[in-house]
Amino acid sequence: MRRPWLSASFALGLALGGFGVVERALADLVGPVCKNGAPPDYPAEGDGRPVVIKVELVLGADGRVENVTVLSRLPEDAPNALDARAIEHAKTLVFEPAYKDGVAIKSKIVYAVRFKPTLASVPSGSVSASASASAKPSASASSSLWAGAKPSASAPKAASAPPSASAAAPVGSAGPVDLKVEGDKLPAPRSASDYRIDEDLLHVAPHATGADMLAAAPGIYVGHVEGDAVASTIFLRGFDAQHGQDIELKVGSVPINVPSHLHGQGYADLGFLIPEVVQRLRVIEGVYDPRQGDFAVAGSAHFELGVRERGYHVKTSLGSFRTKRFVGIWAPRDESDDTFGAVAVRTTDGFGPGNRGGISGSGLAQYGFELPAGYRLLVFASAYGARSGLAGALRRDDYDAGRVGFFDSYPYPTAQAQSAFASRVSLGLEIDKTTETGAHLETTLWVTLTDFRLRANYTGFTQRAVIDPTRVGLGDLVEQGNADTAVGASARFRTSKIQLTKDLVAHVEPGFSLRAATSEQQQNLLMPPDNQTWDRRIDATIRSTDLGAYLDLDLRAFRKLKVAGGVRADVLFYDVDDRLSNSDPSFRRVSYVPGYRRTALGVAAGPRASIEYALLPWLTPVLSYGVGYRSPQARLLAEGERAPYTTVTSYEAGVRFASEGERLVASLAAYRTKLSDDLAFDPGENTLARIGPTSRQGLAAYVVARPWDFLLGSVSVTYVHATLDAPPVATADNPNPAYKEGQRLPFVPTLVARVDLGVRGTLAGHGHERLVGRAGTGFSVIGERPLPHGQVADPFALLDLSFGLRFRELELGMDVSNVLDRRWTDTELHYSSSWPTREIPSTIPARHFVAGAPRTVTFSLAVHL
Amino acid sequence: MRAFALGFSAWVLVACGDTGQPLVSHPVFAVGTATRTTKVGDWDVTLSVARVGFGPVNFCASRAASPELCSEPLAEWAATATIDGLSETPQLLGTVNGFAGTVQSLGFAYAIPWLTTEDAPRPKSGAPGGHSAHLEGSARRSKDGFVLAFVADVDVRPVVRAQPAVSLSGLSQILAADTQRLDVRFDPSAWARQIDFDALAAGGPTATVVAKSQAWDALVVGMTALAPPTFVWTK
Repeated sequence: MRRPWLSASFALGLALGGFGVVERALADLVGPVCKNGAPPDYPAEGDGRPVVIKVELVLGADGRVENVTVLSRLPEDAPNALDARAIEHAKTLVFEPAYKDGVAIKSKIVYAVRFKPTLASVPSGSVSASASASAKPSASASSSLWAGAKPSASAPKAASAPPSASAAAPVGSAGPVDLKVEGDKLPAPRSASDYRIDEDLLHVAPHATGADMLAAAPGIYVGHVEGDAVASTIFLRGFDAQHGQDIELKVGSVPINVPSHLHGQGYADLGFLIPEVVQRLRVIEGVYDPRQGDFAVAGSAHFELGVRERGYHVKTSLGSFRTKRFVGIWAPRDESDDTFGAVAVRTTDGFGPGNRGGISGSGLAQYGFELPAGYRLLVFASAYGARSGLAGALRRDDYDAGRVGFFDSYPYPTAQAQSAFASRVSLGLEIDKTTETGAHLETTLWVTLTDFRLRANYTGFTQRAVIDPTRVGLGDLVEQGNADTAVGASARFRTSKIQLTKDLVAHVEPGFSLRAATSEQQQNLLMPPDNQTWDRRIDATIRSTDLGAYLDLDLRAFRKLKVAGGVRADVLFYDVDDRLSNSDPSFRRVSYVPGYRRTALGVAAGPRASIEYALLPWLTPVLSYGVGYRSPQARLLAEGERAPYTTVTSYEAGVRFASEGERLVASLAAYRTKLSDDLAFDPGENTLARIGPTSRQGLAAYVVARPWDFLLGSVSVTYVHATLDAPPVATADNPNPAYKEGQRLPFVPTLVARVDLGVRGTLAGHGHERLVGRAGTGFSVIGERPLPHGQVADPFALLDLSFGLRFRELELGMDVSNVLDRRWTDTELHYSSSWPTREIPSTIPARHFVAGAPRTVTFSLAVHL
Repeated sequence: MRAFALGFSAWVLVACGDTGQPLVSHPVFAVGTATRTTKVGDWDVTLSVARVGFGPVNFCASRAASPELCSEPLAEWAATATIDGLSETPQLLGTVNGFAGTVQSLGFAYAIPWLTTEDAPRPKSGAPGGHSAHLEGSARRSKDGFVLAFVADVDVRPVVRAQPAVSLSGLSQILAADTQRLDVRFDPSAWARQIDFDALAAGGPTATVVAKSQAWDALVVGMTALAPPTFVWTK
């Protein structure tokens, strides 16, 4: 029998810590509330700098502090004596105890004691960054599973924050206190495959980009097929999500997917993310939550940004292929983790013979502050630009015959001129409030401008001009332009607990989302070097609106059973001005004005539901079901068409496991998804094409372990069997495509496995003169990838390593990716191309590949002030 | 537990299916004709040399082998070769590579294709003397015994870039894993039958067929329309 305080600690750790796979707290919990949070005086031992000392408090059922343990001190070189002052102060605190189902219980929380100097306390001659800091110190309380390993105060948001464990009003007359026990912006899990990955784990292995962090989630493989300025390709649990068509991506409150993007439906470029400020990632694999909207076909991923270690951080990196990167982060010490500013600039020649160089710059800023009446406002802004060269794809037979090198591009101007450009500006506002009764209101507003231009030649010399069919063989350098201006909003309101019967409580949450956008799209064929246009294919304006609404019910019975779910419906409006439709070729007498304007509207609705039962304190089986959708590519709609959504039906049966104290958390899930109309990349048109209905079934296992405070690791294995459920779509080239029942879906890896393992500890010294070392590894295994016509792309494994040494403010780092320098293909494609590498070029569909990066070493020097 | 293990094993086995439309490849042979002598009106025509340039060949699942309908052929022989049109012995040309399916049309060139990257049809390595066909022979007029020796170097050029020189449709040939070989059968004597030998003999006992002459055009028509090679697959 577990002791009550352990239970509370466990539940709070989950509710407030937010790390882990498993939500265990089915019972209603109320967090402790500080009643006398008087500000501590700035100690005489202080050196004039503000100091934050994080302590773990064990609170009795009477609300008194029973035990205090110092967890960390920032800055680390602050005088040791401040620890004792922090303990003294913490012991004076009195709390309204935590409650479980109305019964006061023992609990454990993490509490940050902030010593802020007053002008009078600044020693003569010392420099104080916060001489102007308020004489009204604040304290924040939070809890985290890995709190012991965190060097600084943190207020992670709870995975299962009980509604009443939210902003607590200070009580008492001892002075103002800023006590923060924050609720979670991420709703409670709805399946066994609802993963929340905290920054401790996200930063174990090197991740060159924000998108790469997705690989820390089970079953995800992230590719960089088209260079730095084009969105990564994402494979998730048997879905070739391309640039985002099958995965709903959000950063904070801002959606990233661009509907009807010319380069691919749901195009989602995460290039603007700066990995150093990614604090948490939630990945839902499947569609089981009514909040999941457009593109949540394979699942959803939600990045949360923040900086835990407050202060100034500057990091400079030099690496292979003349890669240089600079990162600057400003995280004001007096503000919460989600307040920061960050910039990153990167230049590289890229691997290969100079065909992958690029430059990018990104700025992110976020500011969270309290408003009157308990509201909290979070302002988000980002700006990003990138340009890079593209190597393009090579024919496997050309490489095998030695006609091209593995990292080469074809030596023709049309292949050497491949490049990409992307820019993005985004603003977001998020207002939320949790009432004392536990009701939660959240509203977001955002606006995003994106620009995209791609010049890529996948097929060589196969294209013939539409406007003048005598023009042929001038090189298939396809230019795509997509400029999108979008505004959106969302709101949700989760009621406080509704006590239906003694053992039955419920929360109801209605919500809505809105997205309105205008996209300008062009597609042309170009001749380098001066980009002469030799054919025009697309010139269109698309206006679209997506209005979604949902109702979610969260029902909990007998403290062990949770039934959650609801229904979501979306309405899409399209107005398409397709200016090149109905064009006449030059040889035909013009009989009408080109253009095809049309409108279309469609509705998608589907249920989402999950049932979980706390079978044992450490074991929770979960059943999940949901119907999701993906909006259609607007330019393919006909006049008046009932915009046909692609629907996805997901089923999952799984279990979540968590050891006491959550040193070990795990999940196992069997899943099945059916898609009504799948898409695949068509290199000829450089966009996505329909392939018909598909289904996937498989298993996913995930384990996160922290056996000791210095060691953290995770292992995931995902297996999928993906099949085409109907004959491939007939084309003029292939009017009767061959089909066999159970035919495998090409390109998706059957097995994706990943290991993240990190150690961190003091190597020498003590106190603030410590030399802290860290080492981490990420090991990815991508199984065989079926290719069309019974072929198979080889499996591969990649090992990445990361090392770091930190002494006081200085940190040296070294990241190595592809340590074993394996020669691997980032993607394999199968299509028809014609490159004049031999007397008679082959034109039947053939294997092509894009080379993966060779061993890449990066050294970094960081200064933390 | 055992049932689960068995079920899982079965499921994994089922998972090892294929991705449909498997690759097929088989050798392609050229077969000439033994018929060296043929009757053309009052003339007995005997071919002594018939070297023919052949290739490349695209096999299409579409009903026509135009670039618009057959930009991605079902199968191909992407090469050229010179064959002896008067030899009945199969001459190995190479390998047809492609995918299982039904061939409904095909397009080919006589070693002078017009590739997308070229501004005009160019003879490839398989073109004898840089031409599509080189024919030599004699024709004996039966009424007076007049003998005409003739030589013809014929070029068959596609008229539009990236289009085949010759298209054949109306086929219904299933390519499958059990397809053993393809024989392409040529009958140069049938091409010679299109020539007006009376006109050709007007210049004397020897004649060289020049471009755009009646004999040239007749040979081209024979090679492309009236007596193109036949394609015979063997299972």
